[in-house]
Amino acid sequence: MDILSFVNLIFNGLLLGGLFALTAFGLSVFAGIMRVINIAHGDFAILAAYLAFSIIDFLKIDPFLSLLIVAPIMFVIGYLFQKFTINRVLPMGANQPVLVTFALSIVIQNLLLLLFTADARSLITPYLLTNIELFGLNPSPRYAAGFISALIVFAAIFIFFKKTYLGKAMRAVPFDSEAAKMIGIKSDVVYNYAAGLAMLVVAIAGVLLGITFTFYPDTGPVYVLLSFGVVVMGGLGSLKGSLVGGFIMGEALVLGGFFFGSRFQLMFCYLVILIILYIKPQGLFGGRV
Amino acid sequence: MEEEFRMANLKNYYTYIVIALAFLASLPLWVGGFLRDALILFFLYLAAAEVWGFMAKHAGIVSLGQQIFMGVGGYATAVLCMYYGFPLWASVIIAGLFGAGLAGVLSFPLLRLRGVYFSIGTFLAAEIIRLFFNSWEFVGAGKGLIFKDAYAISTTLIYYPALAIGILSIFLVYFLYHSKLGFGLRSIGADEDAASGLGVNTFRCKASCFTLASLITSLVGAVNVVHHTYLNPTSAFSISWTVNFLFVAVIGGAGTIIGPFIGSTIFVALGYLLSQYLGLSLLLEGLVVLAILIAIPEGVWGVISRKLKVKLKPPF
Amino acid sequence: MKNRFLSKSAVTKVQAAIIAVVIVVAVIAGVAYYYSTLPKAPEYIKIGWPVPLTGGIASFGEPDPWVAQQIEDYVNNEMGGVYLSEYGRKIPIKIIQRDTKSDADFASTVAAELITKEQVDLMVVLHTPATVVPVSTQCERYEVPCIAFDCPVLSWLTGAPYEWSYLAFWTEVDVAEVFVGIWDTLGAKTNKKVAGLWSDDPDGRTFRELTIAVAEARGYTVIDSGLAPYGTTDFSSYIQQWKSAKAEILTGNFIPPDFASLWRQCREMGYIPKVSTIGRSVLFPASVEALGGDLGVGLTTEVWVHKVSPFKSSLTGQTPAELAEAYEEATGKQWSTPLIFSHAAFETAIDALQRAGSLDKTKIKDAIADTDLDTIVGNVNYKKPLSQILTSEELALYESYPELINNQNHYSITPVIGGQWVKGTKWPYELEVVYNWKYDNIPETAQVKTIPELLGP
Repeated sequence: MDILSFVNLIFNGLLLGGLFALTAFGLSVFAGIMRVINIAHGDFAILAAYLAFSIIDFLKIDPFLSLLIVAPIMFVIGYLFQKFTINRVLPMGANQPVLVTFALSIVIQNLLLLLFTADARSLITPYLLTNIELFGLNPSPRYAAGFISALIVFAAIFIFFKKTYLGKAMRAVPFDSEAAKMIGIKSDVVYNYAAGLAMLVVAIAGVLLGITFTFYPDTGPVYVLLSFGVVVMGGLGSLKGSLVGGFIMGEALVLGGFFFGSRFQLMFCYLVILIILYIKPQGLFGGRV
Repeated sequence: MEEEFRMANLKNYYTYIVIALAFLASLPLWVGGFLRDALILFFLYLAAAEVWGFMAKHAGIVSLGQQIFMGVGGYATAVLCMYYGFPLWASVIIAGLFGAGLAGVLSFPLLRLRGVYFSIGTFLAAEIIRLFFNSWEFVGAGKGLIFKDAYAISTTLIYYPALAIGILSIFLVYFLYHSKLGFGLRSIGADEDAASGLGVNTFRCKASCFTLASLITSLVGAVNVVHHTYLNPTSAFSISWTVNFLFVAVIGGAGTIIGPFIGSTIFVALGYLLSQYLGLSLLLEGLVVLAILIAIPEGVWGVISRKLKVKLKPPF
Repeated sequence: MKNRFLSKSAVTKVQAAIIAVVIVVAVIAGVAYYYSTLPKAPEYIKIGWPVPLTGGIASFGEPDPWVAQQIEDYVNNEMGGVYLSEYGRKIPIKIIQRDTKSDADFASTVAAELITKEQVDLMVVLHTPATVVPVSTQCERYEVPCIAFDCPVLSWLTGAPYEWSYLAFWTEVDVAEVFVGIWDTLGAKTNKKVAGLWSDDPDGRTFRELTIAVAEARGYTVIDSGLAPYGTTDFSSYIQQWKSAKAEILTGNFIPPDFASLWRQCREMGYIPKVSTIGRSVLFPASVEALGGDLGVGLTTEVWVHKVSPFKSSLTGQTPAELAEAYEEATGKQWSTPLIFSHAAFETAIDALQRAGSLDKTKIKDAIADTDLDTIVGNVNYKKPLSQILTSEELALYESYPELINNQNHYSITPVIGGQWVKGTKWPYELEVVYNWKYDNIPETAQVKTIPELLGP
């Protein structure tokens, strides 16, 4: 194919990468603060998509607007999830949260199946399904929406962590919980808010995912694997790393398809993640394991 | 005042065990076809859950990739038998060994990873293998394989290998717990860095454990294909296998030998009871597992042994 | 250290626990044994029906609970049961459904349970190879007659040879003819350049082979983009190629979500082919609506049966249109083709039972082999040789797949025609029949149009 088409491919891969980065942010925040990789991460994102679907069905509003309702609900879910589940099992050993989040993933998938049946769902935004021409390139509007959202969310979280007391507390507690306690920060409560924040980000990602791709109750696991890959590439807890990792993942997917055919596209991505895990488990940009 | 647990010594129960084994061996001769099917499932899930639970609870290795061995065990059996003409049961055994060999190879990239990284690594590996099999013409790719040679094998005949694998898994778990390897594993499970500092070769211990456990799991996958006679990559390598083994182990009591007996009974029974209702069984089991993980992590057997104030020699 | 010697109470407690467990197990086993050996009086005719009620292909099985209810009501209440000559009386039926969870392995399990525990006399199974193949193989293994519908024949024949299972549906060869036929009717409106991409699974692979073969034989140029595994989300490199090559016809076979991803990306990248004929992905209204916007307009697909198909149920006398309306009225959901096929499967079952006159499985099997029934989806007949049904060119194409020839007395070909989705009046999208191929008895309801024509300016 000609140069312009190839450039278009790369460009869209970058935009797609933004969406992957956005999806990974929630996992990164959760893992960076609570030191727990939430295996149900993808399922929570899909849960948010289904919540948006129900709200849109009921109120007939635009999917982006539905976020105003979905995001707070997911925040509360995250808060309660942390308080009653993760906080309880954290002291039980490093692997207990793995089991819990895995079981939760199954529960969410089957609950969604029961409530919504296995029919294909989509958050429909007809105005995004058009053709845009930009300097001879065709950026995908849906991917672009994900990309822009990723940048906005990134900026927001960055400012939150740097400027607000709660944000700084969230970064302090995993670093040295004893010192934090001494100045009056209760780590449990901080964790609860952190989880809520993480779920808020997951909600945004989930809605964007629902707008961009069709989803089913069992769509979650693909996204947790990809998000995990992004987080690992970027380093646990590093937002910047997740952003870059997302771009790499997006390009890997698009170029993998180009070079190996779509038969091996996803397999290529997974292999890349596994190889990076093998070579540099702490992530390409450092960070704690 | 602290309750005193009495240690029960297994030697006193040898006669009971022999009677139980004789009873189990006689079962297929007089129960109906349906119960035979249920029993085969019971023993297969029991075996897989025993080894999974041991790895998770005592060695600190939570594998989310058991489906690799279920699928490989199944495919290897069918291929050896149908394509290369090996006798069916020999294929089963070789498939088991092959799966163990694969586990040995996979240990190298995967066991470098710790904790949840390892877990997700196993899940990733399983997905890669699944996608690979889905494109591999030799094994029928997405169409799958129909294991015609197994049609003639009656469920009575399949029961005995299933029972044998179940018993084998118990011996393996017992051996793993009490052997020098097991001691090393348990120290790794308690604190890997400390164990390494004390001179335990953590990689070799974990790899041995993973390989042995995968031997059992591959055998389970092999017998399963003889029973079900149909394989396709999506269901052979489905995460559902790990989900089911996890459920059986956790509900009964992960890491114990008796626990999975209870877990497997509940699992098989619930599966049949709820097969009439729209997909409720997984949801219910998931909720029960969550509740157990949060509130009673020692599982049903843990609760029973606590209430009866009985403690058996670990890992029972 | 605590006292390690066993006190009397501790030993007794453990012994008591073990004895209790043994007694409980013995009682359960005894009860199970008793029930499993009870002589089975033909109080009911038990028909086992594994259905994907949950999971990825649950949309196929959605109408089935309603169908089971309707059939049971009709047979038991209106007909008073099925007359079996061996017993000299009418016996009611009982349809026992089980959820396969859209998983092939689980389908095996429930099929085995239906056979060994429920001791069904006969099995009925439908809805894609993932459901039909494992159930058929279990029936072969346990020697239980099996009536299968709604599974492409070549994919089903991976389990051949069959002795106890019989299938009625179309072959992938027919669908290739229909697809290319739709393009032929557009004539000079297209440049005869076809872009193709297929799902990497049995359906996709067979469709790919056959579509390319038939299309090229009829003078079309095909850009073969190969196979895409489930879950592929990015197709930009292909779409780019198709755009540069100016392919005006797009074809393929996917699971619905993958097609949705593909089709949306096509629109975004400004690739709107004149014709888009896709297998499996746009069979149901829900899948078409899920595409979003007006993306569903103009899509063409294979149609197994339609409201205007001129058939009648041998059981209830309903036409497909009447059955569809009854379903829509009773459930408030839009009709879909599997609904009609599920009904037809039971017509065949009841007919075979009547002719067998017995619950002896061999007699039922032989009765199925002898079927010559006009059902709500067309005539079902296993004895007629292919040479009497197909033209010589079609036969030649069939012969490139020897299993189609060798197993011809185990499958019956039902009509498949071409349909197009357009904006509807009662429902958001409705399906028109635009190409009836060799089935002149099925009326075409509309002229096929190109997508740009239907989308308007």
